[in-house]
Amino acid sequence: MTSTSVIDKTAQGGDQEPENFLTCASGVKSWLGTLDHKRIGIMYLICITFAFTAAGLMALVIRSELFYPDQQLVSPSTYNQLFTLHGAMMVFLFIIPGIPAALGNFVIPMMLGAKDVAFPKLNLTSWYLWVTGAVFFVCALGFGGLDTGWTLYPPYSTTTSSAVVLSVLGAFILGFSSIATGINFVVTIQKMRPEGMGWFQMPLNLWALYATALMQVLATPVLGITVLLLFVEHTLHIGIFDPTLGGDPVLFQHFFWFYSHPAVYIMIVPAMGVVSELITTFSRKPVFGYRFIAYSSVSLALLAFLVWGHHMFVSGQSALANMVFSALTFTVAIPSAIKVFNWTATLYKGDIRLQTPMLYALSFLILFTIGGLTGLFLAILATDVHLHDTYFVVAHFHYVMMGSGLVAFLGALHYWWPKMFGRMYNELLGQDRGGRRVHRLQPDVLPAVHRGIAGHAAALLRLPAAVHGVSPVVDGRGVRPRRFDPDRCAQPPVVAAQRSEGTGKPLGFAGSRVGRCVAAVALQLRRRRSGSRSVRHGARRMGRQPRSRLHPEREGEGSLRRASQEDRRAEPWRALRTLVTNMTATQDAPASHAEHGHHDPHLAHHFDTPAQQFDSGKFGIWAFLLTEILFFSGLFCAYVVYRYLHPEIFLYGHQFLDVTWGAINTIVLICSSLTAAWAVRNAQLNQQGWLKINIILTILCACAFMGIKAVEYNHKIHEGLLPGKYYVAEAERAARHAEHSGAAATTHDAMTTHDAPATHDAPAAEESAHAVHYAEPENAGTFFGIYFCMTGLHAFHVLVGIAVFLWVLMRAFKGHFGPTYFAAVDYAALYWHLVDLIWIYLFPLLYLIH
Amino acid sequence: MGLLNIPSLPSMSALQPQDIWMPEQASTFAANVDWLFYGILYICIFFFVLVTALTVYFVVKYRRKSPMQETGGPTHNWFLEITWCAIPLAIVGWMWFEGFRGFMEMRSSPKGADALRVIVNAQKWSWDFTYPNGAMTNELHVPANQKVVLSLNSLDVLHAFYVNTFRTKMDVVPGRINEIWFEPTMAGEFMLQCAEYCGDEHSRMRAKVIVHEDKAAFDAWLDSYDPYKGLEPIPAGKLVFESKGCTQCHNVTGAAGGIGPTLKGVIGRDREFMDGTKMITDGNYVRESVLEPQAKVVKEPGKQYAGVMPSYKGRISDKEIGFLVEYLTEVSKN
Repeated sequence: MTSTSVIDKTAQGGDQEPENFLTCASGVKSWLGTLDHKRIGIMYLICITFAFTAAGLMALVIRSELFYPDQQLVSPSTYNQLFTLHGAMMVFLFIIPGIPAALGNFVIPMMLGAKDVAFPKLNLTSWYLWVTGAVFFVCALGFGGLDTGWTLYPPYSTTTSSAVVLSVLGAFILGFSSIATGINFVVTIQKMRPEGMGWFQMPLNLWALYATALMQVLATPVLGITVLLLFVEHTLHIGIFDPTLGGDPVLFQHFFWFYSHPAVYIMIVPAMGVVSELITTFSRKPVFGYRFIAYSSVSLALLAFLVWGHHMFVSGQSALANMVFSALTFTVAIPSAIKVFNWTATLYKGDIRLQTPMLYALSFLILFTIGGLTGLFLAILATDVHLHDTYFVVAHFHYVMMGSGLVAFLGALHYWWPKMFGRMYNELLGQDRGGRRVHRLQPDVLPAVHRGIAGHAAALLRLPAAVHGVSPVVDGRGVRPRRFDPDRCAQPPVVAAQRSEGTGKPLGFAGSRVGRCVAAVALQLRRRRSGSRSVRHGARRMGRQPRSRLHPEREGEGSLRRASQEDRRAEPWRALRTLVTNMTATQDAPASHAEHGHHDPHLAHHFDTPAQQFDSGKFGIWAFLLTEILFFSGLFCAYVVYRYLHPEIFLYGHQFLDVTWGAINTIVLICSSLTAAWAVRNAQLNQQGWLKINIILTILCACAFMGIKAVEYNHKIHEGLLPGKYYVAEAERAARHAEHSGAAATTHDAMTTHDAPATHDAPAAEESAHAVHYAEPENAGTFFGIYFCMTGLHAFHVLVGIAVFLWVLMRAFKGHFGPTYFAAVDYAALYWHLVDLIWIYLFPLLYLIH
Repeated sequence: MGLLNIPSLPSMSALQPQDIWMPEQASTFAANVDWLFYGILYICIFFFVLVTALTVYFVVKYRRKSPMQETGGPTHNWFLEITWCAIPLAIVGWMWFEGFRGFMEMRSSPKGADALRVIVNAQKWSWDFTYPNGAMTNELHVPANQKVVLSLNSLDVLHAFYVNTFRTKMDVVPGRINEIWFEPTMAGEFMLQCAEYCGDEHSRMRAKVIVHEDKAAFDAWLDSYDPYKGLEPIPAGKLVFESKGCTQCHNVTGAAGGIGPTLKGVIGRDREFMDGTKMITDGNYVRESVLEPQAKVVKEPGKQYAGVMPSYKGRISDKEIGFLVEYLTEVSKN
């Protein structure tokens, strides 16, 4: 199914068109089951094109509706659904996976000289998660649409009758798709760089994608927990975000923007990486200020986490918080300015060719400058109060996302198109379209700037007379049919390729620039092998050539040159071999495999050594655990805020939790952690018997934990101690008890007439296990909402743990593990320790409240 | 240019040219906000022109003329890097400071007694405004050249109070009270619109803001303001009952279980009070209970009414009490 070695054959070139990753296997199954990063990248590309087209059509209807002030093309509710889904689909289904998942998947391993991403199966899983999430969005369209705005602010989103549940589940699943991609890329870039390629020899695109992946790993779990809480809020009314139940709607905004601000950078930072590549390549000189651009990508990723509060400047947030968030927001201007100035300086004394990708890159440069500068007005507190929530924000966002993100995506697509499909697009058509980006975007977005300045609030359907100005007639002019030509979709290369098919000669891999570059590397390899010329000498020769060391097609030479010049201890030979085994003649591959335990059955094809594989796996599992920690942190954060607001609910609620059972469960879990740790040790020492015993003990402990959990849950369900709206009030619980125990009718009457003293006595008498010391507060159901959320999610993790250990046990019986290979046991144990650790926090937070 | 080629539409006749940029300045904040806005706009235009001009110049000058074209120039320059970090940093530092200063002015509510306080209630999809004398309107009336403090409440979902000519905006959040103030500088009619998406009719959630010439004109309006004009006493009393918030705790249907006792039959009923006295309640009892609720608190088994109801002294006029008594007499009949 995989075809990584196939591309190698193509490099040999030949008269007949060589086999490549596209043609090596055919049929739907060969695509849907592929683990090849290139094929997965292309599947992503196809899917996001569909999402982009759908969301683009929605934009078309929105613009048509706004064409005249009073036009009624669609009803207000349809209009609201359209702009909500336009936003949600563009963000979650197109821009976020756009450059990283679709194009990044294709180029990252190649730029690294790796055979694949670190976890190919996870890569495919993330694509399937994307498809599942997209299906949920489509279903949401069918089941009443979504009319909350893409920000999903409660209480509107928890009270509306539209398909919030389906949509937030979709967003939840898409979040995990994004996390999977992020973990994969972080590990790939961190662990699979060839020797000799240090951090500062990496192409800038990799820096940008690394920063993006970091944000995906660190921010997206918070989205997961946010939409999960919204889901629970919507279905069970537990009250964390609902003011009528004592919750705080602004808390949701904090949660949401803690993810969604980094999300905006997830969309734009990879675009910046791509543009760095394009500008250097088509100026035919190294980028100006390499380190500054690299650092600015990472600093954008870090600053992204510190500025979310600027979305709440007018929410009633404290002035101090506003001041701090405003200042932090301004710091973002510096890395952005660094990039823009450095790109401009790169053009100086270059050899500039205005080919299609370069036209897109230059358009990006100008449009991003506008986008960035309009952002300044929104960071300034005094002007933001006027501009907040108006069309000015819409314009700023679209300049950055559509004007910059989309334009960079199209540029990158043109740039890598020959590499992906071995065919050239029609250069003339491409230049025609690329060259029009800047001025043709203006009628779409510029009027929105003016609408915003005049004070036209966003999401308004009809225009109030007092803010007419140039009116949406001008906005609407962007909707002329001829504007909806293919260059607005991700299609131009498709069209171009089809057109050139008739006349143009297919280039094939060997004929493309990649192929030539790879051939050059291979030539160096042979020279080195025959000893005719030292690599260092060869590299120095290359260094004199006025080429971009960062151009992906040449980064092999670049890393080599760097390796020889800067890292004297590095073995250029190894770096070269890694590159070559990936990209060039297959004849070199067996040699490298033979050297590195080719016979090791556990070594995946895309890793060089078992050590690299183990390190990558370990790094991956730690990254995964980090996302888990962040996921639960969101939950703990909601817990802390609600407990701070309503301590009495927690004091009341915890009385109904049985500390004894909780303590037993804690001990059971700690024991299971111990056995899991022993199991790892057993595998390392090759104690096969003990290994199986310890795994079985771990599973038994986990099952015991779940059994006790089931008893506890059952008791609560029986009692009516349920989350949110299903919570049964104390009086009624007592009445139920009275009925069950056949109590005297007089007691029953006392209950129903709300006789306060009687209701307090009765449960105390009935529930001998729980001494009730605290009066029932309002919204006591919230405690059980939080209780079931936290312990339920934890129990789910325990169940997953049981499944994982059963799989490990099965492999242990097959004798897979030993001193040389114990990764699966190790990773399972690490996961298990985290599950235990979370319980160790949950136990006191829920059971031991005083 | 497409901008000039606007088809003439009837609704476009009142096109205000200044609305392409900042709208007219109608509050004390506006001048400062506009000054900052335009100042920064010029800085932005400068940088945009700088980047665009350099890009175009380089592209033209260094465009490939021959395949053998030499490239050159440095690949890094510390002086340049530091310069283009430091200059923007200094500029945004100034922007931050000015923005914060203007913001603090907007968010520091005046403490003096001379400020007019108005309670704003927002709900899907209407605004209502309650003045110190208890008058309630659906248009916001304020005097020019006087500080106005608004206390914003939402009864359902998020809304936002936004008057573009005043350059001020604040979210209206259910479950918390946000305060906002402004001082109008010119008389006239302005528009308040909801700026936080709140559902189907969000676009129509607007209200007029009417700024009176001065305090005297405003007071005259407030004194003569009569929502009951043309209403017969019983419907007027119903309006009082509904608009003053009585319905939050009392009902006129006779149902039990409210926060306060039902008012069906409140006229002409024999009641016992907490202090043990008894009387047949009448119009005067209603009047006393509205103005001094704790004077005579009804005794009812299983209920604790003492200390719950707030006084309406100063928030309800004698005329309104008269209407209310008529209404309650009517509902007590059947």
